[in-house]
Amino acid sequence: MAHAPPDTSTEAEEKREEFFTIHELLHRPELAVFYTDLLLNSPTTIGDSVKRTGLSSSAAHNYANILQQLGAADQLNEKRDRAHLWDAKPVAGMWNGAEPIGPVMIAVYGAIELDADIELFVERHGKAKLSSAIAQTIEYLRGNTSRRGAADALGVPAVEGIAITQAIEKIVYLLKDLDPAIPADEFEVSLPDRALEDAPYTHE
Amino acid sequence: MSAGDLTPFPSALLLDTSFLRTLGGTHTSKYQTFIEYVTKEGVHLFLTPRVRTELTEQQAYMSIDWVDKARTTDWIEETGEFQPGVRVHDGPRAGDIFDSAHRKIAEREQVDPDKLRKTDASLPATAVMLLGSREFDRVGIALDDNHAQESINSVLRNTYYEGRIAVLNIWDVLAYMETQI
Repeated sequence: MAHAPPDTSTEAEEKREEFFTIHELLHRPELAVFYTDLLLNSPTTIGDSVKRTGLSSSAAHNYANILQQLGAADQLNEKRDRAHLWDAKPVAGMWNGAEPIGPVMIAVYGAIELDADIELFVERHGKAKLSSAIAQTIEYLRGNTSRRGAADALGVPAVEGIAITQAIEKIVYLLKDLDPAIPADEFEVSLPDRALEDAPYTHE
Repeated sequence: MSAGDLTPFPSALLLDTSFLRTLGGTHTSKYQTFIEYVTKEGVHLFLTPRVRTELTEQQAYMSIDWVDKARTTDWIEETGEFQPGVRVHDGPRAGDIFDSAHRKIAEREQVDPDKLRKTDASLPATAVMLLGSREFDRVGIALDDNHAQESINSVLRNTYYEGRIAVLNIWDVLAYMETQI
C-alpha cells in the first residue's frame, strides 16, 4: 500500500487542535464544568461563573487561561462591573470517525462529581457506558424509546435506565442548541423551570 | 395532555417508578407538594407488583423506600397482578389493554415484544382493574416518561376508559397541585 504523505494543512491541524481540546475537557471534570458554565452563560465574567459553579476563584482563572490556550474561550475587551467578559464557543468533533462528541458529552462527564445519579452510574458501569447513556437519552427525547427501553438497550436495571436518562435529559435540555453534535432539529425537549432546580448547571 | 386530564383530579393514582424517581426525597418541594395534596384530598396511591420489583432491586437510586411505605402505611397500597378478564362497562378487558399497550410500545421501540419489559403496559391494565373493583370515578397513572405516556394514551383513546383513566405527567401534576393547596 502506498504511504500517504502527512497532512500538514491548516484544516488538518485545526482538527487535531479540536481533538486535544476535547481530550482535555473530557479528562478534567472541573475544567469541563467551568467550560460548560461559560458556554451556557456567555458572555460572562469569571466572578459570576465562580458564584454559579462553586469553583475557587484561582481555579476558575486558571481554567479560563487553559480554555483560551485551547481556543475554546476568549477574553473580550468588554467589561461588566469592572471585570472582563469571557465568551466560550462550542467545540465538537468525531470519535472513531463515527461518534459525535460535543458540549453535551463534555457537560455530562463534567457532572460526574456534581450529580449523584451520574456518579453512581459511572461507579457501577464505567465511563464508556455513560457515553451510551447519552446516546440513549437522545433516543428517548427523539421519541424512539421509553426510559425502560433505554435501560434495555444499555443492559441495566429499569431504575438505573430511568435515573440516568432523567439526569442526562436536563443537561441535554440546557445545551441542545449549543451542541453541533446533537441533531437539535429532530426533537424538542420541554422541561419546566422546576425540573432544572437540581440540574448540575445553571443557565441565567 | 389537556387540562381536562387533571380535572377532576383522580381519586386514585398508580405511581410509576419514573414518577417516584423524579419526585425525589422527603426534603424536596416536589415531594412536599405532592404529599400535602394527596393527604388533603384523600387521593389513594398504589404501586403495581412490577413497579415494586423495580424499586426493590435498585434502592440506591431511590431516596425513599416506597415499597416499605406501601406495606406499612395506609395512604399507599400494593395492588395485586391485574386480572386479564376484568372490564368496565363496554371497555376492553384489562388483558386486551395490556396486549395493545405492550404491542404499541414494542412497535415504537422496534423491539421484539417478547423481549420488552412489561411494566409500562401493566399500568393501564391495573388501572382498569382498580376502576372495576374499587369506588373510583377516575384513576390516574403518574409518570415521568413521555414516550410511555403517549403509547398508553393512544391505547385508551376512543374506549370507555378515555377520560376515566388519566395518564399524567409529573410536571403537570405538581403544577396543578400547587394551585390547589
